[in-house]
Amino acid sequence: MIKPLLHVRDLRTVFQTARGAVPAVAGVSFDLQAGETLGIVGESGSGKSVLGRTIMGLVAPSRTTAVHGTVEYDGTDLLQASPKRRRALLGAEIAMVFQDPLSSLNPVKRIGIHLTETLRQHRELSRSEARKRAVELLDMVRIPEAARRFDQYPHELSGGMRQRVMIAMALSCDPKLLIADEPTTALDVTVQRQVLDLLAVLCQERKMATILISHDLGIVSGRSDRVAVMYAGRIVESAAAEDFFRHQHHPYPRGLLASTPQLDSPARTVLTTVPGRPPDLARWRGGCHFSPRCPNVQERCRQFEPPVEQTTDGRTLACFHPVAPKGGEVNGRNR
Amino acid sequence: MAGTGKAHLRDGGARLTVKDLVVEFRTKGDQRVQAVSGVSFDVLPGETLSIVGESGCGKSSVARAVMHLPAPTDGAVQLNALDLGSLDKKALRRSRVAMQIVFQDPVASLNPRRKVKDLVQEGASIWGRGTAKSRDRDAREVLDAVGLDPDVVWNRRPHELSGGQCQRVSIARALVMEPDLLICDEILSSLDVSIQAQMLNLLRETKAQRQLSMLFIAHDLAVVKNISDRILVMYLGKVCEVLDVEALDRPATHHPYTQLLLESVPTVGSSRVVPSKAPAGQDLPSPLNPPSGCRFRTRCPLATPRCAVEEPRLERKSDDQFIACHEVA
Repeated sequence: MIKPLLHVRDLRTVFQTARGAVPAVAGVSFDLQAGETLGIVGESGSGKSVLGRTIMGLVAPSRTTAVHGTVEYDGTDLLQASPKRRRALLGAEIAMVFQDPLSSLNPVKRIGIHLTETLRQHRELSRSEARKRAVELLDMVRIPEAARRFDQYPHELSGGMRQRVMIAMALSCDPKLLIADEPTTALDVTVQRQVLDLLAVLCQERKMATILISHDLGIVSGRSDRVAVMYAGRIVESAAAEDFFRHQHHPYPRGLLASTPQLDSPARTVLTTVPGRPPDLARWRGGCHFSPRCPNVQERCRQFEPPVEQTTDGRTLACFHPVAPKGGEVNGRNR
Repeated sequence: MAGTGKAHLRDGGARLTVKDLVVEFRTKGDQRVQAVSGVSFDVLPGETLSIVGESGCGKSSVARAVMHLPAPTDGAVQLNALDLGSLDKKALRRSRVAMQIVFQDPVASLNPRRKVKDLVQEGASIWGRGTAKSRDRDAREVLDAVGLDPDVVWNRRPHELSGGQCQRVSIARALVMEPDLLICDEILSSLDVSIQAQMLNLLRETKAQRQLSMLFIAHDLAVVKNISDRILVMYLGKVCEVLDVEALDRPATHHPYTQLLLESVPTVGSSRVVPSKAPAGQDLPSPLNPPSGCRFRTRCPLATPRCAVEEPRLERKSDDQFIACHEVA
């Protein structure tokens, strides 16, 4: 087997809060091959963003924050690496696109500065070389009149354009790994489509590995090689995208899919819902985190946390009582 | 008069009728910007009309103008055949009780210092409805109806509730006034998928039980299809298309903008999306200086020179579909 580009094992990020320890990421493991896209889906509070930020080194261990486990990028353990080594990798080989393009850009700096800063830092380009490259990048993310935009301020650009600038910034040093955390949540559907398409094309062209984080299965669907669903800090099920959308073994992803309104299901469809709401991680007393909301819950689920196991068809699954696929099933929703 | 026709209005019996609605704002330098330019629609008893469009198309401005928050610049709003524009301040206040609005941000729209029991009863006690005892009883009933346990949440304050629970309290607060019309302005967009599905089912049930008319403002067509009877598609302050939701279930030609919205909705399935390599689409033009003729023409794949000169009117395409377009109508 080829050595993965990113190798994450038993990653834990625990925040000490006034209400107790909150394990926002509670033992996450996955591998990502070069050029592969992993879609991570979860609702708010599931730990998906903290996972992305932990990999990116943006959650620093401190008195109130503990990070354990392994994040190995191309042979280097990022959690153990020296600050100097990490600074050389982050922003250059590993880059991130954030959710809110307005608050991620400095409102008093011109668009160009945002782009040239990274280039001059990592590539040691001269001012004029960096400018030339930055305009090329703006052009690449299909911003019209790139040279004029270079001298504008963030507020002069629309939301979609700002997100394109964010993508251009992330791609400025040709990263091998891109982490996109809800890259289109603040955008209109029409613009969302354009931005996602742009990301997909660029990833393909550059053979870039991507982690696409979203709360919406629809965003990840059709744009990922693998899909992982997070709940309460853990990956409860992951599978190749095709297998995942054909059938979900874990009741949570099943419920999530059934509660997503679909344009191609008949008008006024009564949605199957997941009753209740996610657990309070600071007050958790054990057992499967999904058990209070689970339709298949058994006594054992309330007492023990199901381990994450590899299934024979290449999935990972954390469930004692998975839902078996029915013969000839096409899709896992509307039932 | 792009998309300003009234061919889609029905004769009589409407709970809410809006005709030629114009909402204008003044900007710095004494410019005027029209957020809504001549929009007409009606809502029948027990019907849900959804207004969809991108941000900045004027859909929220329509919702506020219907509530007279503030009154529209021009046009008529009739609730139960009563023209709200003709009323004085006191009478307007009185008749506005029959319309209740729920806003997008569930936490910010509730007073953080008040308890759920007071929040829900506030309207009824301002209007002096019933006795303190009967108001308590009504509040408990309606909390129960929106899926909250009155005994649990009764003495809680908004910060002790989740976003979804706060949104339920907001809905309870609106329903306790027994409105004829419920206006929902993007009430689902800040909620998680599983909570959103719970709310959609709740709204559908409540509407059926109470013969409630709803004006549902949203940007997500998949959600809209799930909840609506009729859909109005808006672009830059004008109406592009009005259609019954059933028209989405059959192969039909749509306004090019509706088509764009439909194609942009992410679909869930195992098939791979083929990313289009088309250049970046045009952004929404500035409403300060909207395009001449049809306002959508700068982004429209079907645009012809005629579209720049002549504004299309809403025309009947079939019994349940009205389109304002020179090319497809």
